[in-house]
Amino acid sequence: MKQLFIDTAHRHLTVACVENEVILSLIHQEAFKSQSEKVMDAIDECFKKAMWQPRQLQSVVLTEGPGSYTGVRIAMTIAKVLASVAPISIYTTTSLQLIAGSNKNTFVMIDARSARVYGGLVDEGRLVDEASIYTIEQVEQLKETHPQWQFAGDLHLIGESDRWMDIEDGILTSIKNARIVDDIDALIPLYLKSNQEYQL
Amino acid sequence: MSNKSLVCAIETSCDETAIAFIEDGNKVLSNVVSSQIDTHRGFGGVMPEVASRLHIEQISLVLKEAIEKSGVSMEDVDAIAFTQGPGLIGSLHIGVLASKTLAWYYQKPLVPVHHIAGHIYANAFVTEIQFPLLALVVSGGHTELVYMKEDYNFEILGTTQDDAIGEAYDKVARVMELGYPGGPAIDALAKQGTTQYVLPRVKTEKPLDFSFSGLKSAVLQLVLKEQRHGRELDKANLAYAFQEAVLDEVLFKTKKALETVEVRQVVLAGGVSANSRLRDRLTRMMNSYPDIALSIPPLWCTTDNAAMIGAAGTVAFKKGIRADFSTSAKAGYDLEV
Ligand SMILES: [Zn+2]
Repeated sequence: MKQLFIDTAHRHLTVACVENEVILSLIHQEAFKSQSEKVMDAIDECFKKAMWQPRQLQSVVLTEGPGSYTGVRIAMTIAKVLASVAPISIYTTTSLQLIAGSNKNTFVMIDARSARVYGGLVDEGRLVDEASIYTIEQVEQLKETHPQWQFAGDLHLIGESDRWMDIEDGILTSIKNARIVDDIDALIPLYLKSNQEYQL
Repeated sequence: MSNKSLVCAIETSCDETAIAFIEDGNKVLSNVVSSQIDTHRGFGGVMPEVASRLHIEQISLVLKEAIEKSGVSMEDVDAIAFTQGPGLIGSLHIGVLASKTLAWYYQKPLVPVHHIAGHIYANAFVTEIQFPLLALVVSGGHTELVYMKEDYNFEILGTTQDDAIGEAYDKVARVMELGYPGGPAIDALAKQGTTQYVLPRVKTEKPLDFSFSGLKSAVLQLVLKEQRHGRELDKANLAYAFQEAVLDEVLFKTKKALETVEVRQVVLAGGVSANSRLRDRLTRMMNSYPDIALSIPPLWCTTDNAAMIGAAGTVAFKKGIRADFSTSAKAGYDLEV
């Protein structure tokens, strides 16, 4: 199956063409706030490297979040449009799983601004609990109470260097654990904040 | 080869998710608009983050419906036209990305369109557009006098120095507790009003520019004054006074513009062109210009839609205007390029 993997949830842009669990082409670059300008060229380039035609695409795997709201909507718009015009199946995974890859007990944190993070524990590619919002203090507490966990993502928020796991492992593990989307129209990003919070 | 052109157009600049298929620039094959107005009414105005969320919820439904109703296949499309700006950045993003995705998948040219160009070319659905032309663009986001010497050539003669006209209606409606959106409510109420209140004349630095914030404050002052004196506010009369003052300003500037440029046609455009009193007064004013044709668009193409982007996009496509995959949404976007 010819699969396109897209992640635009965080400050990276990740695009890959994957077939039978083999990554044929991959673009993984820092693209803070410029994913929307770069994503189509990246997809086009990956397809050319993989020697695919757009019409051969059979499936899209995307991260539904958590991450920047504008960011998560980029990959999702592409997937929704493709699934609307062609028999392309859509699968979702989370940005936390992409970062954790197949590692054991890895707590991934992504900057959610205002001294908060989107976080979640990932174990061998599966999200142990739901992704949710943590304060920096809560993360620091988790780090103390769970010395056996690894921490990954925007670790500068807790005074350490940012840590990214292996991206190829992240992509392949995410694809393996991705969930199929039955109703493409009902698919929405994982925001973790409701519409009502914008009322004020 | 046939000369027919087929354009798929996408518009998401504010609070409508809209996709249309347009043949030859003036035939609507399909025009699907999903409005978010009911949601934003609950917030008393358009909330940008909420608007973006609703666009992504609607985009696949609107696309499928627009294709199905058009009776054409995406393969037959000559170009994908999209609103590049101006508008809410998060909302524009969805339409731009959807357009890029279609352009990539079907290997079609991408044609960027300015939202105001769309409003002006909406008139192509009801009349043959003649140049030179003067367009009065009035909406929730815009108040402009645009001179077009020829097809797809835009010169802004006047614009608002503060609020857009539709914004002024919304703000005054809020002061008068008439709900959102304010335009239709004030227009309806003003019909029962008469000349009780007097609002000050608007002053602007440039002769063809507009200003509405002074009027808005004057309304607020008046409401407070009546409260202070314990007098009951006659809302209908205030709606009447406000609407007449706004339209005095708009029509006076339009008249002034007609003194500076020679045109064959005046076209009204934008959401506020649905205002009955504006239509009425502009029509009467233009009676004294027998050599100038007037086009007032039907209600369906006054509010934001993608058909108008398709109409403008068809002209832009034929003029060779293109965007590549790195193109992006432009919240502020100059019409005069
Ligand atoms: Zn508009």
